Amino acid sequence: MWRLIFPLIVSAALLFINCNSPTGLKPVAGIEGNLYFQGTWPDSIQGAALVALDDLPTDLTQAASHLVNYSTPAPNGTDSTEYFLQLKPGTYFLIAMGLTMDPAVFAANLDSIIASGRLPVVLLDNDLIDIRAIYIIEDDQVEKIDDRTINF
Amino acid sequence: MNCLKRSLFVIFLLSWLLQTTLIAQEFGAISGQVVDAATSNPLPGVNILLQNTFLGATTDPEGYFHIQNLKPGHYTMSVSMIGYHRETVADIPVAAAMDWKVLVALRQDVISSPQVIVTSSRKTQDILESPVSISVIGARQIAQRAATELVDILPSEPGISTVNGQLNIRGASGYTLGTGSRSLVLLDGIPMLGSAAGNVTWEIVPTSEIEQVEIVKAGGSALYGSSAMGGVLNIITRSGTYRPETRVRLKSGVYSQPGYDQWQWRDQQGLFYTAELSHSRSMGPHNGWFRIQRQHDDGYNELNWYDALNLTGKIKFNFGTRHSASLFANFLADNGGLSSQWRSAAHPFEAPAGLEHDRIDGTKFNINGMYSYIHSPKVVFKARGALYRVHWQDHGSNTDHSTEQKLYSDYQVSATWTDRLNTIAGLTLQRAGIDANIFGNHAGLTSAVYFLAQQQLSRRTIMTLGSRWEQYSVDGKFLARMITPQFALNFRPTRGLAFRSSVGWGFRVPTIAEMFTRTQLSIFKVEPNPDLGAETSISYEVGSTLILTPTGWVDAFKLDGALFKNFYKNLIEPTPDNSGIIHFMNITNAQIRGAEIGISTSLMNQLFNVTSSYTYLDPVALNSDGSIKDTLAYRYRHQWVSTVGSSWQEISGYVEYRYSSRIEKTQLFAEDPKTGQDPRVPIRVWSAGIGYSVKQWDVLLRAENLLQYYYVEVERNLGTERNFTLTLNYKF
Repeated sequence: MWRLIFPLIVSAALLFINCNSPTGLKPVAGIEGNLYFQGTWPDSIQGAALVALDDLPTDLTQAASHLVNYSTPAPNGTDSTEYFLQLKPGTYFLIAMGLTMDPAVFAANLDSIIASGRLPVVLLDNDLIDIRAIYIIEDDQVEKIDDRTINF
Repeated sequence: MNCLKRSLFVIFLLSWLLQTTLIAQEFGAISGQVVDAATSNPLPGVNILLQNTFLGATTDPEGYFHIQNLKPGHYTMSVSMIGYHRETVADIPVAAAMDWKVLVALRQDVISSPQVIVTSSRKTQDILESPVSISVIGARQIAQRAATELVDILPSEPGISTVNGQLNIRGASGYTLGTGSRSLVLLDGIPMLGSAAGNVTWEIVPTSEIEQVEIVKAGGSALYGSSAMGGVLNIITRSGTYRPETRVRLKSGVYSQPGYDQWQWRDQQGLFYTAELSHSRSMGPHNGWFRIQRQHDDGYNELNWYDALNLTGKIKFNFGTRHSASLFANFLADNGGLSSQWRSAAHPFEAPAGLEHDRIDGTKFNINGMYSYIHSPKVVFKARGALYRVHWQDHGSNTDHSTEQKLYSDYQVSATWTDRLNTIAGLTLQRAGIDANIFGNHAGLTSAVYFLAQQQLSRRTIMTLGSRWEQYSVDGKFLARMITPQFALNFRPTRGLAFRSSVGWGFRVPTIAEMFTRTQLSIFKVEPNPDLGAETSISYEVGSTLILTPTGWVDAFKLDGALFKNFYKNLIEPTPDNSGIIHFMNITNAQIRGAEIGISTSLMNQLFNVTSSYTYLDPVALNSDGSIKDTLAYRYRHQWVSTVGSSWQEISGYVEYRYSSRIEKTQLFAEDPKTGQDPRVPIRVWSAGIGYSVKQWDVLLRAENLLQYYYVEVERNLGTERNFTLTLNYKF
């Protein structure tokens, strides 16, 4: 059995080195929930997404500079969608926005859109309580928020 | 009249007998026995080949062989068998009407990396004579890892990596959702890439019946054509055994629950099992095997479950000393979850909402045949043919389906002109037909001729020169015509040391999927691009292999290294345009430079067995003026794999470590670290195994991803969770 000792020592040393090196992926922080749509989608809105902002500007079309993350856009006609927004610990506002351009075009040109400073969006939330609600994210915490309904 | 006929017949018969006797008297023979050097037990199934001829034999159940009809002269005999060191018996004097007796004792190979290859020059040769870099994985190495799928063990070889199951030889392919592989995969020398997407269906590879896997790492299409621009992987299945042998293999395992409470998604741990029954035997001069395999896997994530039934068989026919043939057939019926991405970074083991029940089922049928005719000791003909049929159907959020069929044939003549010059020439024809809702109905036709010459310039130097002409058309419309030459030099200053250098041109024609796919991928539309052209490459490499003979406390030692530089032109990549619509386009030129080194050694009577390999890649996209534009997506800059093991009587054990540096660029989703954790972490995976062999039993316990390290290889797809596997093998 002594023959196994040498490689075991080497393996233990390598394990020790590995255990002191950076770890892999860990649970992330963010916000998750469900977004429901009631009524008929207007033709002018091609998709909808939930947007996380680090501050609330007076003019929401100027929200680009405060955009931190957004959910995968739901296409026009969707009844409901589940979302998760990965966020660093901090304080955020969460707003439902309607995209006035094709969601795929929006995603493909996001860098240019943010650089332009104007988001091609309209506000979908019609409840000020929702808009002004502040969400505080802590380390490794996923905040589950109540279902949100958009009425067209 | 009858009397005259009888007389003529008797005269003819006497003449024939006299001629046969005279011919027999003009020729000599070599015969003998091959035994195990340690036990002196006879070894059946050993391959005997006379160098610079196509003559050979295989030892019978008692280890005997007999090669006759040899012209007088001096012959060099190569004796090889899996698990044993190759031996060469030089300068055997064969005289007319003489039978030269030889006794060969083979030593067991403790490194277990085979030394006889067939892929890099389409002929049997010593690994040290290969004109290009080649890695070989033996049956013992495959068994040690208890892998169900071959692709899982490939990254242990220098220069080889996989990205979400997609094979990368020196970073050629990156990740393209499995379509358009830039590495050609062969099964017993016959291409097995799908005709629609040009992808590899690893599930049809009979992993437990593999004799060896050869990976030609230098890019170039001179011998194998399109898709070989990034290298060639040839899976060689075993032949049947001489004595009837039945094997039962049961593999069962369990996935650990996720290491973080937040990620738990099911109450019970996921299980997986594979049950195999195979039988192998000889039938007169012929031999064969048959295998039935049932597989079930709960998967480590919600859409990773898989069920399959696989029937595989191979028959090798030996019709005398000149004619032989083989037939391989495989049928797979499978059904599995359809996973494209996780639900969210908060729930990485779960399927996106609404897609939990998405699945895909299908059937794959593959039949390969090969016929070989030794016309003379210096000339051999080979004909290969294959039929490959694939059907799949999505069930769930979309109902995509496809049926594809491929007919392949190859005719090859090999000739030895002198002791220093041999050539190979051949013709390949292939027809593919596809009927699919996302590709449409299409037919592709490939025709090619190839030629390769190997000239021994001196006793130590071999020059290889080859080229291939290939033409490809789709739906009757000409698409591409290519000439791809190759030039290589091999210099062998001593018996165990070889240097090699090569340059090879390569190409890949776009697949039907890349030209005609029309589907929806998440929020993106994929639209056809029928004007897609072929991508091309030039590959340069220099390398060296050192194999030391056992001495003192060194049981075995092999060192292999290479430097390489590959240029790619008009690489095909899936590219979103400003409208968010994805087309496959000839978008970029690229360059991949790199180095690789691998070492295998066994010390102190196998007290210490080490294999280790390191690969460095510098993968960049180039502007048209040759300046660097960007890093190529889905390539690891550094990759290191090491295995440390030991054997003690019937017990063996090993620990394996795999490191791949962080992928610097992805393509499908922009994973923005501003929003939290960057999922592109380096891969650091530990695995370990312990085995026990006694009589007909082999037991192996393996733990994979021992420390539960979490990583992604492509966006939003978590790497394998820790799992424990118990494998039982019983032979009778």
